[in-house]
Amino acid sequence: MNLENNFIKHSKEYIFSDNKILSNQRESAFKKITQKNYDKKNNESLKNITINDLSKFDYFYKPIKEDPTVSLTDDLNYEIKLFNGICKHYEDDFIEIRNLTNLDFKTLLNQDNNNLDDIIIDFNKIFLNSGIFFNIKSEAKLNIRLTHETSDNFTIFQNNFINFKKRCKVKLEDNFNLTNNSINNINYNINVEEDATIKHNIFQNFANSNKLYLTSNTVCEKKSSYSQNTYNFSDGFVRNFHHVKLNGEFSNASLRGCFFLKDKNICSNKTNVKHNAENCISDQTYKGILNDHSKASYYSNTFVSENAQKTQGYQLSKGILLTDNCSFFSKPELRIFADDVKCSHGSTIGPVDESALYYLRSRGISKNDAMKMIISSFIQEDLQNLDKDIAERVSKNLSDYLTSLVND
Amino acid sequence: MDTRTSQTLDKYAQDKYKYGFITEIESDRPQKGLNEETIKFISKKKNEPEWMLTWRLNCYKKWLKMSDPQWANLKFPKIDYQDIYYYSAPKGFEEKPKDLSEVDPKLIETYNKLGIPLEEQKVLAGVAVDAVFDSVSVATTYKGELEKLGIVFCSISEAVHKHPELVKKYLGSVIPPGDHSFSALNSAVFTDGSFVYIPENVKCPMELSTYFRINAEDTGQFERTLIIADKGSYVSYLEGCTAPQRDTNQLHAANVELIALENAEIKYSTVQNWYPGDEEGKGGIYNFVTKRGLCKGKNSKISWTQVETGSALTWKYPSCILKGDNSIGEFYSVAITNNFQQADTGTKMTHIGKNTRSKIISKGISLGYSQNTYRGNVSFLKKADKARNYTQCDSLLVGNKCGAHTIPYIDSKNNSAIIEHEASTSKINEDQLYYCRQRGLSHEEAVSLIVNGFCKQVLQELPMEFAVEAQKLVSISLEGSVG
Repeated sequence: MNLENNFIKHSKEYIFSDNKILSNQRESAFKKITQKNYDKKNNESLKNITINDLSKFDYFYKPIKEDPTVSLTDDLNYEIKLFNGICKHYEDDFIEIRNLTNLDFKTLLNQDNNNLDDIIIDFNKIFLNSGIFFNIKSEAKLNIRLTHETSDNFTIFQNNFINFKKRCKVKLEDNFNLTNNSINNINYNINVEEDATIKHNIFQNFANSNKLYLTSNTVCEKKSSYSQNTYNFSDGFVRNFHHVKLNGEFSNASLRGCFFLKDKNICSNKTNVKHNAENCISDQTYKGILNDHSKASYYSNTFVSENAQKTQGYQLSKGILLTDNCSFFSKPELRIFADDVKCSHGSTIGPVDESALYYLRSRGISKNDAMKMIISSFIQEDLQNLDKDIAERVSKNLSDYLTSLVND
Repeated sequence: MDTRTSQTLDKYAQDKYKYGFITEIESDRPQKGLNEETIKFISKKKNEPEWMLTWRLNCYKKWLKMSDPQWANLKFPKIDYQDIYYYSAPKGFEEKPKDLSEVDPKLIETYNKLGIPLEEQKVLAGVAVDAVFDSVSVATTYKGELEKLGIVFCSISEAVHKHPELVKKYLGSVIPPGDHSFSALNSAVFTDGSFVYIPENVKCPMELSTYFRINAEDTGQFERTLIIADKGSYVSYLEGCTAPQRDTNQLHAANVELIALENAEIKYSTVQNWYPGDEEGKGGIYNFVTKRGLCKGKNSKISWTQVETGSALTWKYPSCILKGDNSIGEFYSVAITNNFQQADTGTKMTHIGKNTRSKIISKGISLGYSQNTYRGNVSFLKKADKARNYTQCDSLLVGNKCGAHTIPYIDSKNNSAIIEHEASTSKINEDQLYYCRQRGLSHEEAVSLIVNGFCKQVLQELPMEFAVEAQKLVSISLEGSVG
């Protein structure tokens, strides 16, 4: 079904369909996308995405009976399940979680992503059908495990707001449990208040027929810390676009990611850090392994505004290409307007190191094992700083990936 | 020529015509604006053959359908193409300054700082020198020597007449006129430029430079250069000069094409120091240059070296297409922007052949309110087995009103190719500054010394005489903004 039919036919089903201002916003976003001379070719947000995939889909969304849950394994560990973008309303001394309602339109109006020129975000605006509000209260120290479950053929356009209050310390884990043929366009607006420390781990491992467009916009206030790790083992299409604004002094952000691709997998990544205050540190590191006919892209961007002196910004992108048919594109950007800064970026793309391979093989290790060793060592350094359970999960997935790779 | 003769000649050259009648000089300018008539006018003025005119008109038709490229990080008002003269004949003696005393003293001061000889100063400042002075006569002897080796070095309009087969074969073969709007524009209205052909197995014994070519002045705003190095040959070409040049044309859109056949090597060095506009950012030249080299044959090599200090706007990406197996592309660049200058410069290395190698060293220095961008594209196509790239781009910021940007595009489609890219941005190291100051250097001298050291990797790639002047140029460009 084409875009226009989807838009008209389901226009009453989206939330806020009765709100005039938001409806107008939708209309204008729709017009922007559909106008003929809109430059889609050079738009970074569409790298590795075919416009047909986006514009021709069957919009499908209805409430289903299965209930979302919030459960506590012990005092500190929360298990939260979202079904098709819907959560269970829950509140205790530490957290509050609820669904987006028609009364929240002001928050939506105020969200600050209009200048991104991101078509996926435009789609999210147009077809918005779910969203959650998530508050983590101040001083809370928690582990949260969030699972997104999407049923067959569902199209989810979700806009989430997460607010980490002052001095909280949270480990947030995002899991995607997607069945078949689903489209998930998920946008996070994350606010990290003063002195809060957030570790955000994202696991993506799902079947070929699903698509996930994950975008996050994070704002860090004074002395806060936000570190994100993304692990993409999925067969389906994944787009990871993560933006951080360092608005408070002495805040720091780290956006890291690993992707492991095979067959005809495609993945599109972008990280963007904007330094608006002094003495902030940022780190953007993405590593990828590509096999068969896979394709990946990585944009990274460090923006240092005029008053953000004493900034330190680092970027690194590393890609290993295992066959001649895969391709990797990277564009590490630095835009700097302040002079007292230390910023750097590095980028490498290449095959597995021949001499390392030779060294291992000359010691009697088979080629397959040698490859495995080299590839896992490529990722290993990132696993060292992770918590044990997460590191184990990554290693498990990695060894699955390596087995599939060697058996080809 | 003895001194007396030259004095006499000078005297007569400086005298105004005493006898009071004026020859009406036919106005050699077409009407302002760009249309088919303008192109026909240019072509007719140059007495070009029919095929050349057809080519120009085709390019013009392409240009009509195109809009200006938007990718650059530059801010400037929209160019009104109908408000430009597209052809101007060399100026008559009447319009030129009579001697150096009539030239802007600021300009002379810079010449002296750069250590440019007096006679050359006159040529650079456009003083009407009717007498054949030393450097020109040197040029004629050089010309004889080049002819003996079979090297063709002439203006492109001359080449259209004398070597139409070469021009037809190669013009527009590296930069297709339809590439982007500036290349189409240049192809339609180019007025002059250099043409170089080096025959098989000839090593050009000297550095070719527009300097030594007679009638080199007023090559104009739409310059077109074509250099062909046949099998096994070598040439080093110098463009521009360190001296500031005052040019009245605001828009420059030059095209430079290099072709290196098997085992050939071309070294192309540029020093650009055009008028950057005044301290408030008014005026200055818009420099939109397309430079591209094609390593067509096996084992060929093209090397670009550039020092960019002038122009209000610089839009320039000297590129290499590495088509032949084992071919090499190099790019060395220093870009200094001061006051309100904006530069968006870099390179594009396209690896097509096997074992192709490229190296990019770029140094950007921004001062004042300027914006300096490195934009580079390195791509490995599927057949570029074992290709290799190394990129290093460093930026230096002086002051907190300026910006330094690094935007590399890296694309690999081959798994045996290796790409390495690294970049850093920082300010001048306080320790180094302190060390220099302690040894009695003034703040300005210290900064200039450090910046020169920062650029050394690139400056040493320049031919000898350029390198010395370029170092001084770097110091001059920093003046007034440090401290």
